[in-house]
Amino acid sequence: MKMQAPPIIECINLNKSYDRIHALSNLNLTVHQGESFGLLGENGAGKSSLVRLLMGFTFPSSGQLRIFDDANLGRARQRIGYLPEQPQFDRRFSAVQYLGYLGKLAGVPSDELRPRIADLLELVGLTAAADRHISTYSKGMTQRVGIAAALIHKPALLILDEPSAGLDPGGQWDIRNILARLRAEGVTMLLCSHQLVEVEDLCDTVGILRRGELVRSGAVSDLLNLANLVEIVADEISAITITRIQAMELNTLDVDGNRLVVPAAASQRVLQTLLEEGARIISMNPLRRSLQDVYLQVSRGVPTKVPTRPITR
Amino acid sequence: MSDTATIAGKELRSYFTSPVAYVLTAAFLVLNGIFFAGQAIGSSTATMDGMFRTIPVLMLLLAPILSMRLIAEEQRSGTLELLLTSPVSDAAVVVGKYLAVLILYIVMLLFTLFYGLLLQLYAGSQGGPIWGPILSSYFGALLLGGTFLAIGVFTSSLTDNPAVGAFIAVAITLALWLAGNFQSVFQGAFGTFLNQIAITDRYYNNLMVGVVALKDVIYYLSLIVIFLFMAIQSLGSRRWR
Repeated sequence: MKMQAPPIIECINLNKSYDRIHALSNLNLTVHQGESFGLLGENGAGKSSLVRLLMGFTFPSSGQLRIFDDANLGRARQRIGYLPEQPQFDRRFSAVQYLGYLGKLAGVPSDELRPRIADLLELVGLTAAADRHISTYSKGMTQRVGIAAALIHKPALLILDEPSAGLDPGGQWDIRNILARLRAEGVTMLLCSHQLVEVEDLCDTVGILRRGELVRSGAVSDLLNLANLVEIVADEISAITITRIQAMELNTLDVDGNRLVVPAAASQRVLQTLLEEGARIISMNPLRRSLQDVYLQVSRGVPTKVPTRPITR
Repeated sequence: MSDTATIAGKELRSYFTSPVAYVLTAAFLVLNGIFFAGQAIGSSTATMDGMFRTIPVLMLLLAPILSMRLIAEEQRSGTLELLLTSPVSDAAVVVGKYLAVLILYIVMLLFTLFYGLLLQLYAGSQGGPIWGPILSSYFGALLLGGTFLAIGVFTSSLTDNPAVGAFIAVAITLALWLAGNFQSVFQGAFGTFLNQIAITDRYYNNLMVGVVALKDVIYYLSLIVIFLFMAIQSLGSRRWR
C-alpha cells in the first residue's frame, strides 16, 4: 500500500565529497508519502551530510536529489519541517514569540498563526510555559519547541536529526509519543537516530549507512524477521532429548535450560521429539532479531547472535 | 518583502531586549554631545559641525560593534541553520538584518536632533542655526553610517566569530577611509582610483557643507549595495562548502 504512494524523497546516485572525503557515495534512496524512514549509521557514516543535502544547506557533488518530485530544493523547503540535532533559538524570546516569528517567515497567514501556535504548544506540552523565555527551558523543553517550530507550517515532510539526543528517559518518552502521534496522522518522516528502540518503534523502513554507502535498507519487519527462528519453551528438557535434537544437525541450536531456539523449518521435528520424550510444551514462538543486532551486523560486521525476542512481545 | 520586515522586526526586538542598544546609544549621544558642546561653546557658532566631524570616527568603531553579531552570532549559536530552513531567501535575511541595524542607527541620529533644537532655542534670537547644511549633514551621516554598517553586515557573514567580523570590518573601513592618502604612492590610474573610492574625503565633506550631489549619494548607495550583495553571496556560498 505504502510502496504505491508517490515518492517524497528520491536520491539517485547521490554523491557528496568534502575535499577528499566522500561523505556519501552513490546513494540511492526513496522515501514514499506517509512513510516513516529511519536512517541509521555510526558517527561519520553520512547521515548529517544527507540531512544537510535534503535541507539545501549544501549541494551534492553529483547525482540527483528530488523532493516532492522537484529538484529545486528551495521550493521544496517550504513543505519541509526540520528539527536539527540541537535546535537553537534566540533564548531572549518566549516560545510564542519565536514560533510567531518562524510562522511569519514560513508564510502562515496571520489569522491562522495564533491558533496554530496554541495547537502546537498543546501538542508538545508547553502550553503552561508558552510565555516564558526560552532561556528558562530545560533541554527537553527546548527540543519540544524545536518540534513545534518544525511543524509550524504544517509540513508534508518532517526531517528529524536525533530528536531525543541528550534527553533523559522521560524526555525521550515524551518526544517519542509526539512523533508517534505525527506518524499516526500520516506525516512523512525521515528520522536520523542512534536510539535504535526509537527507530524500531517509529519507523516503517530503515536504511543503514556505512562510510557514506547505504549498505542495508528495507521494511523494519523484514529486517527483523530474517532470523526465521523459533523459540520453544518446555517444562523440562532431558539430556536424552537434547542429544536427540543435536543429532538432527540443525543450522542453529541454542539450548538454555528449558528453552530451545531452532530454525523454523525444523521446529515441527523438534516439537515431535520433545513430545515423544514426554516434555510438556509451555510456549512456541517465532523469534526476531532486535534492530540492534541487525545494525551491529551491518555497520560493524558483528556476527548475529541467536535472537532473544519472541515476535509476539 | 514581508520576510525582510519580519526579520528586521525580530532583530530590532533583539537589540532592545539586551542592554547593547541602550549602552551604545548612550555612548553615541554622550560622545557626540561632548563634541557638539565643544564646538558650539568654543567657537560660539550655531553649528553642529563638531558632531558631524566626529560621526565618521565614532561609526568606525560603533558600526562593527552594532553589526558584528547579526550573522556571525547566528552562525556560532546555530540559530542561522533554523532560520535558513524557513522558506526565506538569503537576500531577505541579509537585507532584513541590515535594515534593523540601520533603523537603530537612525534612532541614534534622531536623538541628536535635540542638539539642533538647543541651538535653535539659545541662538534663535541671533538668526539660529542654518538648517540646510545641518540636514544635508544628517543625510551624509546616514549614508556614511549606512555604508559602514553594510561593511559590518558583510564581514559578519564571513565568520562565526563576531569579534573577528568586527575586526575585519574596521580593517576594511579603515582601508577605504585611508585609500585617498595613497594616491601619491600609486601614481596614475590606480592612484586616482584610490582617491575616488576614499570613503570620507569629498563625498561626506560635500554633504557637510550643504552640497547634495547625486554622484556623492550614488557613491555611498553603490558601496551599500556592493557590500550587501557580497554578504548575500557569502551566505549562499555556505552551500558549496
